[in-house]
Amino acid sequence: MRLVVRIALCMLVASPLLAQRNSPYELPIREHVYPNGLRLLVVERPGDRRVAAKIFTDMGAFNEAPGELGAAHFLEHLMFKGTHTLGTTNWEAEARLHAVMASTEAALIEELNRARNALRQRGVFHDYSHAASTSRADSLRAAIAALDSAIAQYRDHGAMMRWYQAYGGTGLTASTEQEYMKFDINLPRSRVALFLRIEADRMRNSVFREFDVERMILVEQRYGDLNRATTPYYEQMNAAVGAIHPVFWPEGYPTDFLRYTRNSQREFYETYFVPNNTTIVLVGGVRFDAMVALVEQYFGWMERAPEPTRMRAVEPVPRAERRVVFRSAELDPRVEARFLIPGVGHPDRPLFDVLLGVARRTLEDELAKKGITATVDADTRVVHTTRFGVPSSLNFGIILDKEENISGAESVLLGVLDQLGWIPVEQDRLATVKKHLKTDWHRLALDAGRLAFEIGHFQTMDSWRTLQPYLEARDAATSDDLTRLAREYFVSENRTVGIVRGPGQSGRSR
Amino acid sequence: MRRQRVSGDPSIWLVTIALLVMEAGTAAQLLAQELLHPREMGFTEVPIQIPDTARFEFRLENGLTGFVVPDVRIPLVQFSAFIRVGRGDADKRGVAEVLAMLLRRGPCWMTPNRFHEAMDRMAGKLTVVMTQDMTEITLNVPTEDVSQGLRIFSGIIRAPCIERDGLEEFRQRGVSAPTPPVGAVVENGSLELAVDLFNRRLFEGHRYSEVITSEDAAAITIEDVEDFYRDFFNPSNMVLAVSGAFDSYTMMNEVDQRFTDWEARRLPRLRTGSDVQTPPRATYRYRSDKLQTWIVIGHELPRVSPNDLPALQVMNYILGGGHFDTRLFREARDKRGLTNDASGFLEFNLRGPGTYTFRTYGRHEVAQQLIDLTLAEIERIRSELVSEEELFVAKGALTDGEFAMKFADGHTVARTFAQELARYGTFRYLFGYVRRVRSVSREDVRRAARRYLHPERMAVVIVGR
Repeated sequence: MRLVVRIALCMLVASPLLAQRNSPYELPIREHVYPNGLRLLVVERPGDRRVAAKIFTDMGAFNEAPGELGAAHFLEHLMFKGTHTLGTTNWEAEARLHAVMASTEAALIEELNRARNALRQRGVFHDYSHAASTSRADSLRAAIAALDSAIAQYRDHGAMMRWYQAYGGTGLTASTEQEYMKFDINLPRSRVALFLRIEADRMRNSVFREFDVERMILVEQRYGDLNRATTPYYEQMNAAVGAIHPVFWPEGYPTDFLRYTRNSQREFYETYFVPNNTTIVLVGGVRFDAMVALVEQYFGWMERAPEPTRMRAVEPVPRAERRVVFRSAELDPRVEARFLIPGVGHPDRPLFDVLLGVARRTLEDELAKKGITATVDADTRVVHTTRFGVPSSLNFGIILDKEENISGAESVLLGVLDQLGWIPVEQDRLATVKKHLKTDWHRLALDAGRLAFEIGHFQTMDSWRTLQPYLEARDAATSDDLTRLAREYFVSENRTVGIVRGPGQSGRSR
Repeated sequence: MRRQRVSGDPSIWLVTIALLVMEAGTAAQLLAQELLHPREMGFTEVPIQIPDTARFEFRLENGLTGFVVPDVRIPLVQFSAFIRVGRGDADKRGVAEVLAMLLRRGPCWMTPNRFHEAMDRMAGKLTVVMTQDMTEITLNVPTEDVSQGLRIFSGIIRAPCIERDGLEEFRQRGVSAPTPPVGAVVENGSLELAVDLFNRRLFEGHRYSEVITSEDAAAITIEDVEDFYRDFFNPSNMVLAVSGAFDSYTMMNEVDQRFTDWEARRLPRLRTGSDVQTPPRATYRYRSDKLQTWIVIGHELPRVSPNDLPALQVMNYILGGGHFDTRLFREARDKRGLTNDASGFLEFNLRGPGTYTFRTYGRHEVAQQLIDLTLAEIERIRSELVSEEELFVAKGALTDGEFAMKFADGHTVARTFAQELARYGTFRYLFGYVRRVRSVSREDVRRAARRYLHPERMAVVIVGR
């Protein structure tokens, strides 16, 4: 031993979070449900000086209507615009203007409803309509713009972010996906009350300022998506995989963004942002008992509301293979197969995480054997999210260097997936895939913010209680399980095949 | 469907609104409980406790220094090496990049295929990041594979696989695309491309240029890579960070076994990058057929003394520092809806110039407005004092937020200590950081703006229409 300076060897943290328990996935999640229905979930991490705090609302793109896709995401943006207490220099004066805004907008909605036949879409290629607007609608829009300018004089920008930042908040984000909207922050543990104060205020007192300005941010975000050549292709694939379910709908089109109204957004907000539709997740250096009392102080006074309307869509059983041929000058040639799979809460869903890893590796091996140069993509992503509490899809894509390899790659792809239903998976391969899943989970669980997200996400998909059995089921997956899944799900009537080819001879495909 | 614009007389509307407001009365909803303003919630200062470095530090006789920090919560172990060498230290362009690529192929006693198989079996995660003056190698493995992980990690550092087929692979895949002439149509327009074009212009002909031509690649020999490795991969030229679920004594002994017989060599020659300076303001336009235009505005960032850093960081935080309440974000996004993002990026190098850039993007028709707003805000922070509130927020965010996160767990502690020692050779700046940030004044912020922001010679790179 030639060590010249010894370390004192002190433990920063003494207690294991995951290890040395009955299950490697055992999580000390503690729950408190308040009389008003608000759910609090806490993971104490003694020794942590900070706390990851998230508030989940059980609503999202699922609750949107065609023609107003992206409305839930837009609501999230509006909820950064301040409240009665933050974001204004004179709420009383401002409130009077908002009241006028509400009646002016109501008049505009009335006018658009009255003129419905003049404004209805007629053409397929967005190239024909009777009229773009009416003179009264234009006049009301001008009034709304003038009101917005008048409201702006009372504006204190950034107030929903500023105090988090001033008091040491990091990782301030929000996101809205199909099944949830969440706001999150990481704070020093002694300042967790700031999270509760701001989020209680946001939940009850949000004011939708700069409504029309903010629409343009959605346009910018959508343009950002559409700049990626894969976006329109994936959207076509999603449209083919699901017959009716909103899980497959895109985040909204620019035509949708123009249709949101303050009125409909307010209804959305008031319906879903109620305590009995909300889960708070805290992971870090806090005590459960203390948090129960503190959350009570900020949220306990809120009254339970009628249970919000739930998404009712039920995806019908698929009856035939679907094929999409997408022509693109930008995308590399590819062949893809997608299959409907069950949502979290179904006993088969965790096994698909294992099957995905096994199938990807097997595909890579087979393509190499056939001498086909390709990259294999395998995931469960729909739009941005990879797990849902409803049926979604399992996706295998082979990205090729040559278009001439498309049919060979398709036959390898379908052959491998078929083979998985008959030939048992090698134990080594199965063990490696399971080890990757377990290690990835450990990497995730180390980060308080990511762990808090998973807990909240499972609660919105099914229940936080599903999380641990979900992880354990992946560990327990057998070769027989995977064979059964492949036989049951990798069938032609459950399959959507996507082919990407070059643009062909003419601009528009025939 | 095209929307028609109707221009009414705004004064008529203001009168109408005033009348309606009078009728509407007070519509304010009452709060069901009294919510204190965050300023009045009585938050006291959070003490930021930096652990004693001596508790975790080790030094071997060959000069190798490091930190072993246990964190037993999750069964993972992470090994990192911070090596004081980067792209800017190579005499021949591309040699450092070849070495970085070869480090990812594992140690020389395994073939790259066997290495990848071993990594796959362990579910290990290897990253190699090389900047102009620092290289970081990190391997993360499950605790059950800690011995094999350390063996591979030490193998990558002590005996990487520097072989000709790796160099050939680099010649196939590592060569940069040619720099397009100004005005050219570029494929795949993006913010990353705009940043790349900005850097190419700023560092053209400089040691820090990241452009590697096929001639550069062809001129590299395997001996160049070996020499570069031998010069700089030296026990006294790196700092290790080891963290995770392990027994410290056992881990220390294993580290000792893996590195103690590594012979110390003479200290390497570390390069200093010469200064670069942008000429008077110029605009470089590239055409891209996408839905948005991307904009990068900026110039070089001279070497910044650690003592000057707090005021510069506070200034950048207020102006554009990568969060949702910067001046740029507020003006361009919140008030006008022009862009999804407008931010300022301080990119330092320790031994040579870096860059200070402002990046934004939006639909084509607002591009000029975004440029004008960015430059106007830069002028404003140079000419006016920031508000007390802005200063308070920035200081809190940088100390209680970003800095405190460096000590959030055992992994971040090990990494922070090792990185700091590799960068500065001392903990003086780390331990004094919070005090120095808290003492920054409004005048210090303006001074930093005047010293580090020079709008009159900022290059403007535009990719779009």
